[in-house]
Amino acid sequence: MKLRKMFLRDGVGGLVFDIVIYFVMLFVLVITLYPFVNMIAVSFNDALDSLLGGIRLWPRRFSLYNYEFIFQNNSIMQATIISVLRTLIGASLNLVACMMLAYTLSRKEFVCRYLFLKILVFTMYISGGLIPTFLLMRLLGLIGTFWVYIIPGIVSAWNVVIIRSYIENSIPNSLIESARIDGATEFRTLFRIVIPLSMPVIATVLLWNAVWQWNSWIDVMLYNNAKPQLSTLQFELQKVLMQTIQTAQVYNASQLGAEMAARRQTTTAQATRAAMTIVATVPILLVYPFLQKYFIHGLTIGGVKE
Amino acid sequence: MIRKKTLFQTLQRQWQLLLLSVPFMLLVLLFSYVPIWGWIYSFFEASQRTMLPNFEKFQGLSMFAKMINTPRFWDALRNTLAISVIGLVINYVASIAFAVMLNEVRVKWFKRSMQTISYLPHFISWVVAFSMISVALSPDSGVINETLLALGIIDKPVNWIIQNNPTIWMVLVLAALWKSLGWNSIIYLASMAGIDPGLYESAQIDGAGRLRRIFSITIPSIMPTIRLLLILSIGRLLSVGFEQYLLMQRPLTLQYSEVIETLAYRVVWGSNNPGRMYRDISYATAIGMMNSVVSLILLISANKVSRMIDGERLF
Repeated sequence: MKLRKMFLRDGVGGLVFDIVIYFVMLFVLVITLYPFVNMIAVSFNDALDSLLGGIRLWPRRFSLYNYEFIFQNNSIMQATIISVLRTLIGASLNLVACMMLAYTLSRKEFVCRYLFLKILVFTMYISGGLIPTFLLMRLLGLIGTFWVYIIPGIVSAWNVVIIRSYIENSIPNSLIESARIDGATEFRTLFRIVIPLSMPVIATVLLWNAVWQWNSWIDVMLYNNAKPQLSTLQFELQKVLMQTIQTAQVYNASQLGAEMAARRQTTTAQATRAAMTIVATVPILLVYPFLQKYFIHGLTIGGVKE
Repeated sequence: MIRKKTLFQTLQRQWQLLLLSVPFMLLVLLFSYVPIWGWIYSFFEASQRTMLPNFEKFQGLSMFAKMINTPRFWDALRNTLAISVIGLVINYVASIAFAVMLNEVRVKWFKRSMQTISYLPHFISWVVAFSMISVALSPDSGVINETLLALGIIDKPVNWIIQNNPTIWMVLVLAALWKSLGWNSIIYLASMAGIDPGLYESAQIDGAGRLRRIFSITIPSIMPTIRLLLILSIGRLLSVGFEQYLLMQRPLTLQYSEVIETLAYRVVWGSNNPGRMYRDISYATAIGMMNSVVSLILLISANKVSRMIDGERLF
């Protein structure tokens, strides 16, 4: 009904316009989703068969062996555990730190408020760079430890700014004032009033951090390259990725046929990489609906004030 | 008798707030400000044992002299500028155009699912993203080559990732666009949601077509957002992309794919010679500093351009 009315108003020009728009949207849709679908198809396809190429949207010779292989591989499993640990510990410690700092910065009577805020916001634009940061980690003895993933990122300016503007805009100041008059300490006010009322922003920051921690790999490469037991899933994937791209081989069918006859089940770096890519993506897809729900919220409350 | 409280007394009274904030501020100072002091490595040699700056070994501007006499540095500078400027323009135009078009989609569920799907690449890591992109770009039966072959745009498969010429700039920029298009459009969509629908209705009654409405209502309404995001993204232009470049660079293409930040990285970690590290630190830090200098230049020129266009300054 509505559509027809619009068509009548906008005429042929409007129709052409709609066709162009839907065509562009479809194009974006395809280029965004195709790589994901293709990767899933390759990961479930027999490894040697994949070398023949031509796997598009669906596996040709279905196989679970690529996943079996990576789940039996000790170093990949170890790396997955480290990834999970840094995600859980890193995300929650960062949340606690940012929450406390943001609360103090939202208190209008706090004398250091503007000074601290300025110091924080400045860090969003200027950084010392790669080498000085590396040397600092070295000096602090963080190289080769798990804590190098957690401690340097424990306070992030962006998160503090977002939580602070949430507290200022969404929690009535009178509520906090009355708690103070009743003699509640700052700690009590924070834990009994502010935190329970800040759940949306807490969810946003927690998810954001978790995704960020899960996806990090540069710090592993820079600081813990010599410690394979502290490697993460993303870094293991990066290593396989570099290896497969440098040794891209062109197989022909007869050569492959011989190999397939000789070994019953095998995997290739390419197939392992596909399966690892999917394993590294699945957690993101699992939290994606929640991210959807909260991140726009986080983005808009962050954007309103700044 | 009223006495004005001294700062010290106020601080004493606010000890709880201080306890909740000072420890974290110290961490910020340690991890974000101490490395900025690390810039003095450009002027003083690092001591071999502790790697702290050795103040007895002042080397003046010799590291900068070494830098400007190295062709690799000039290549990296050119690539940095080219990739950031091309990237900024393409990203900007594409994400605004995408947001405007998505805003014109009338079917609610389609619009919503389109948004959901377009953000997805933003949330995966660059490793995962490049793992997928490299398959699509592959010269043997990669989907991009096959499509271009079928359309007759190229006549034999191209190995996009090892182009040692300006083509690699476009490859890098488009890969980044794939990852961030949807995400970058969010903020524009949000500001379009705030436009008064009455404006569109009255324009329609006056006989304005849909294109006319976009250019006379939608775009002027989101202009403040566009300008604000321009400042933000120029300020951070050079601090993003390191992960992507590190993954997508190949030894063969460094002449065109090396950027300042990765050059600094390679000076220290690229040589498989750990004993040399302490001597390269000064040189790498000097190169890294150039990143901030270039950032500043970009910011100032953006400001100039903006003033030339409409007489308004960005900042």
